[in-house]
Amino acid sequence: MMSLAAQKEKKIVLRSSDGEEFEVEVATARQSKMISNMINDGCVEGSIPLFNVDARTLAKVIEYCRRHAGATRILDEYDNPNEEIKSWDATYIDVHQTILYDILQAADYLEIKDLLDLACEQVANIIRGKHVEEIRNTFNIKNDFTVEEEKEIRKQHPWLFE
Amino acid sequence: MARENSRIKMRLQIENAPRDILFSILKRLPLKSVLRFCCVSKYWFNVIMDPDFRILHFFQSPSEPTALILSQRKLLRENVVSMSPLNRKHHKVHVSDNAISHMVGSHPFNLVGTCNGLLCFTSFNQGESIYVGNPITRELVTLPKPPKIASPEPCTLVYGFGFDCLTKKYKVVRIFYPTPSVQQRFIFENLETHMTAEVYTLGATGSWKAVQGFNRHPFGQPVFANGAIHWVVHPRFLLGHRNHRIISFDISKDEFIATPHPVFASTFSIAELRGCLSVADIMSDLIRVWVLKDHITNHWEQEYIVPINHPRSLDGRFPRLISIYEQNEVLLIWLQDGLYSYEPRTLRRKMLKISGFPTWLDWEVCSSFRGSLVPLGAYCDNGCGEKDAAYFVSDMELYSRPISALVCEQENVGRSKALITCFSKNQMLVD
Repeated sequence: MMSLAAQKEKKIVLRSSDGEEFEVEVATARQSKMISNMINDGCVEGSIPLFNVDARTLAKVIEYCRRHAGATRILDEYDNPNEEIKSWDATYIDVHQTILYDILQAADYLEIKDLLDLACEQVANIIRGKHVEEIRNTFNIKNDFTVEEEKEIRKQHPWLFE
Repeated sequence: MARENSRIKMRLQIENAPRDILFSILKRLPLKSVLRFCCVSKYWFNVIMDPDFRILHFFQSPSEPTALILSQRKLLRENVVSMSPLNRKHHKVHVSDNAISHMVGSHPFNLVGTCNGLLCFTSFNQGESIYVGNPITRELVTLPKPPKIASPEPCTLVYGFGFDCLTKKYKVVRIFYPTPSVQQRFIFENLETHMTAEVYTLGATGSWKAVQGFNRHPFGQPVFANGAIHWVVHPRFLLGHRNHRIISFDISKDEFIATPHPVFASTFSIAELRGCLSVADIMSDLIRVWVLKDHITNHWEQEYIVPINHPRSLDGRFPRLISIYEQNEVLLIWLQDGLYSYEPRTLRRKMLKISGFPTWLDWEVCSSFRGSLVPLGAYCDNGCGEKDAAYFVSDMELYSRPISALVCEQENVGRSKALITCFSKNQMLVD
């Protein structure tokens, strides 16, 4: 087991799906459960290739991990670190929808639970009042119900449409 | 170009976002949105209809009640008649004429209780029938007939409905005891009346199970809170027991217990506040609202003091605490002349406008209600006895068939439909 100071010093390299490399502190990388497991298993020689995360998204995710890795260290220095980190989170996640969905998927893939929750909450807030057609457009979802199937659902679940 | 391709690939993935991600997004939405989003695509439909999601959604979505269940007082019978969306912003409760025509039938339903968006109600139209249903999804389960009451004397029937969070099962308790005669009411020494109690567990047992009675008998409408069903003790058993006036049924242990409480004034009513048992203790000019904060240590706290002008209602019924809203902490209180909201922070009391009623005095609010998608099917154990199987259908069937197909007893079909129609005519309260 490495000492905390040594961990802080040590850096690892993450490589995005489009080949860009990011050097990050171990504490930051460990925010991801997936990477943390890899570090524990000792398989982080060289760079870690992340096939599902592109550079733009990875940069954004690292920003979050860095802030939250730091947050645990400065906990004693502020009276109300929770409030501070909450407002930081709110600003952080207030991004364009395309980036938001990329973050969401990256957080799921990298197993960063807090970030996943934050992104899900944001998506929920965006879609809350939307109509079905708007949802399909937002998510680029094709309506795959045939006319007959839709009729059948209306017949079987009339309570959905009242 | 490669980057563009990967971006398109990513975008397409959200269309079939992993089930748990979609779960995690949808569970944060109000019921109304979730119902609407069923039509987005087959995948979304399947995720929302998943019994696991439907349970998860109830326990994770905002817990404010959205509706009131009203009853009509008629010849001492309380009939479940309607629900009405509560418009908090405008202090309005609306009941439609349509609903009333469905409600005032000759075969009344009696509300037992509500729990997790499910309703338990009884009907004596064709003998004693007990139902558990979800008015949003229209799933309905008819319970097997409980053992017949073989008593020469007239009996008092009391029911209870609750949820065992250890086993995740719903239970209905049925209690009866010989109705104390007027004469007997004054002979306090003679308390040797036997109480018979049975429990039915939805989806677990094929029949009613007898449970040990208690030396004080429950009375009136039950309240499910703190993992137990609570009743006020029958007035006949009150003498000399100033702090044993609440009897409870521990739903996990299947046993009756006394729930000790502070000494209350002579009239009090029980209700559920934020999942806890609460008591509205009615004094001459104010109501003290007590909350059972911890049922293991029996820790009660006096949470609110509400000034009132009318200490007692005209017909001897006392004010009842109906509900509390966690947001902005608004209390709903039923007084003799109507329903009031009270904001303890600002001390502001306001009468709620109720439209659609012919005569408000005939009606009473008996419970608040929060709609849910909680499936009844998930609590059905398909591997159990034949008798149970006759009353429950499999998960898939349960939510894919209309209510008429689910009611086992033919004679009840029309009635149940009327009840459900009345719920839906009131817009189903899914806000």
